[in-house]
Amino acid sequence: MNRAAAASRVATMLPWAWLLVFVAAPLVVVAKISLSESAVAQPPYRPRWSWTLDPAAWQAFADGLGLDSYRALLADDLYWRSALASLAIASAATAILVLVGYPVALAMARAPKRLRPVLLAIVILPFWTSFLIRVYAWIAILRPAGLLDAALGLFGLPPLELLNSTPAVLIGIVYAYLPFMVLPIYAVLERRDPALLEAAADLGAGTVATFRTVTLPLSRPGLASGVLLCFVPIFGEFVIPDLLGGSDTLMLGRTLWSEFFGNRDWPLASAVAIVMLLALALPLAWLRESGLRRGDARR
Amino acid sequence: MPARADFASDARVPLVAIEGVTKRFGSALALDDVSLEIGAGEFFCLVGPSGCGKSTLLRTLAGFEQPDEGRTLLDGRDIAGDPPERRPVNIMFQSYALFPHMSAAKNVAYGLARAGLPRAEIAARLRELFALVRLEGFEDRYPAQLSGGQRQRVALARALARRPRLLLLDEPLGALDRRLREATQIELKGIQSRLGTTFVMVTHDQGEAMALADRVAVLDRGRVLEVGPPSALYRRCRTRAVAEFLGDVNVLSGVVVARAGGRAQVRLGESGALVEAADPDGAGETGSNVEVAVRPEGLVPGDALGATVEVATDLGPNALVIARTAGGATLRALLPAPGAAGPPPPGTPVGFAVAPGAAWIVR
Repeated sequence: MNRAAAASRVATMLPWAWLLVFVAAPLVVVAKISLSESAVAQPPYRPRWSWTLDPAAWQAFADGLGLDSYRALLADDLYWRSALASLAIASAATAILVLVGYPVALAMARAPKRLRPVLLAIVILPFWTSFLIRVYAWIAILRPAGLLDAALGLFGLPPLELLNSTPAVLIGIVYAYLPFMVLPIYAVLERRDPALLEAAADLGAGTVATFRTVTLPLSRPGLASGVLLCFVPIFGEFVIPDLLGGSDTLMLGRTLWSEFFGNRDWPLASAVAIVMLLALALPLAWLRESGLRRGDARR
Repeated sequence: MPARADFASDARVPLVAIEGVTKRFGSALALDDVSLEIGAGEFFCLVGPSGCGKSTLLRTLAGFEQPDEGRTLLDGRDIAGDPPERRPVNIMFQSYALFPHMSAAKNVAYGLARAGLPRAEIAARLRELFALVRLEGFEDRYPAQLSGGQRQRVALARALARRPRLLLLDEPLGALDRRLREATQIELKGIQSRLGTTFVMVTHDQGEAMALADRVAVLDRGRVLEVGPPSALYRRCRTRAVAEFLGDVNVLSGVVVARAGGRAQVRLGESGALVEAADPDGAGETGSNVEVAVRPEGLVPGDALGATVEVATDLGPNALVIARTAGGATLRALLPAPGAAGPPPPGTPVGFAVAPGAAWIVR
């Protein structure tokens, strides 16, 4: 093999090496912990197997494989309820993000060309301050007698005292994730061929019909990326529900955190993480697969 | 598909009347006081170099641009306030602008569905339209699965689907290769005469305009230079700019020595030879300096103009000879096929005369 071919081989293997080190390896570690026993120790678990080639050790591992942590997940409805609550909050937040983010993206794409970089900068601007500081700012806005209630008071309206409630969590999430919804949609809308809109108008489509039959279907890839970029991290979101939510705001990320750090039950927490990953990854893989098959016909 | 019997038109009123239309983009003048009349059933071509305003004029008719001054009448009614979706006008875009997420049939049916036609009628019209553009069997393909020529047909069918009073075509054949373009020209002309729809086509290719148009308007820098049937403009235009835009032309200067009827005797400046030139509007008074235009095919072997061959190319049916006179003027002549001996080599002295009726005076 000549040198150039070898170099290109190394280059193509690099991303795989990357994935192996930063994605696959940690996952294997988490999976291994989830199959271990909880123990009063440092770290707080006792492995049931170790990295060995001794067949007897493997046999012992298989015999003793109780999947205790996974069984505990099924037995306690706390996990089911947090999963469902996470699903509900992530779905609601993603729906609100679509309703808020799409018009923003559309307005940006329709703005005069020289204004677009400015608008883009405004959308990205919040990233320049710490995420945590921005969430704390929301505490100041939403807390009882905070900015929101003071503003309502000016109009003689009763205070809402939103802090530590599910609506506060939704507000925080929509605020934090809006750029992740706006940018992919904007990227698709900005590249669309203006002649297509003229063609639709020429063929008798008014504004609403043009949006429904041309703009919306053509922006579907951007919409899908936006939904994916928001829904997945929101599902496992921990910081926002912890800071803005009340004691009754259950979310899987928060449950996971309390298992790890409150109860110090690493095997159970790892089991939660693995189940959460599978619950998100499998439907997405299926969606992508079926989407690709449908898309094939058009390319 | 029924012909123009759908619409009864008043014969005295032109289908389209453009009256003093001016359009500015910032400080640039895209259309400068343009007036044109286009009759029902006509195949009208707008030609001119790029940036001459022909596309802007087409977009004004489609409703995508609003004129700053002047009026646009369709059937005698001012359509300035009508948005594109409410004009009985359709446009075929240069890029075709097919909807990439819809099959060919859905693209063609788009305008019919917007008009709220019943399903059965849409299906029947689709069959007619796909037969018209000879694309039967390609209804379910997506634009990305069609060749350039097939996409062009889908775009034409889609623009014709609503049976517009006026069909606008923006460089409809521009994206096709030369052979396909020539075949498609013949088809396009056939479709137009079968349907009787009024076509207004923009092209920068004067050959295409010659081949297709009933009448041509030559535009330059936002102004209409001349309007007329292409054969007449090709042989008897008023201005040198139009003569040069419509094809190769030799422009010779001389002095008018005599006039009779619509003709003038011109003594050519360089050789002193006398040439008879048509002068329909009496541009050349006796004694005035004029320019005489002669197409390459209007020069025949003779002794009025002496020159030396620079390049001679055998084109098959004839030979293009580019020759230089003693005074340094370049002459282009299309001579009969040179035979097996081949075209004359560079440096050969040649003599030309002007064929009867081939010369005319331009300004």
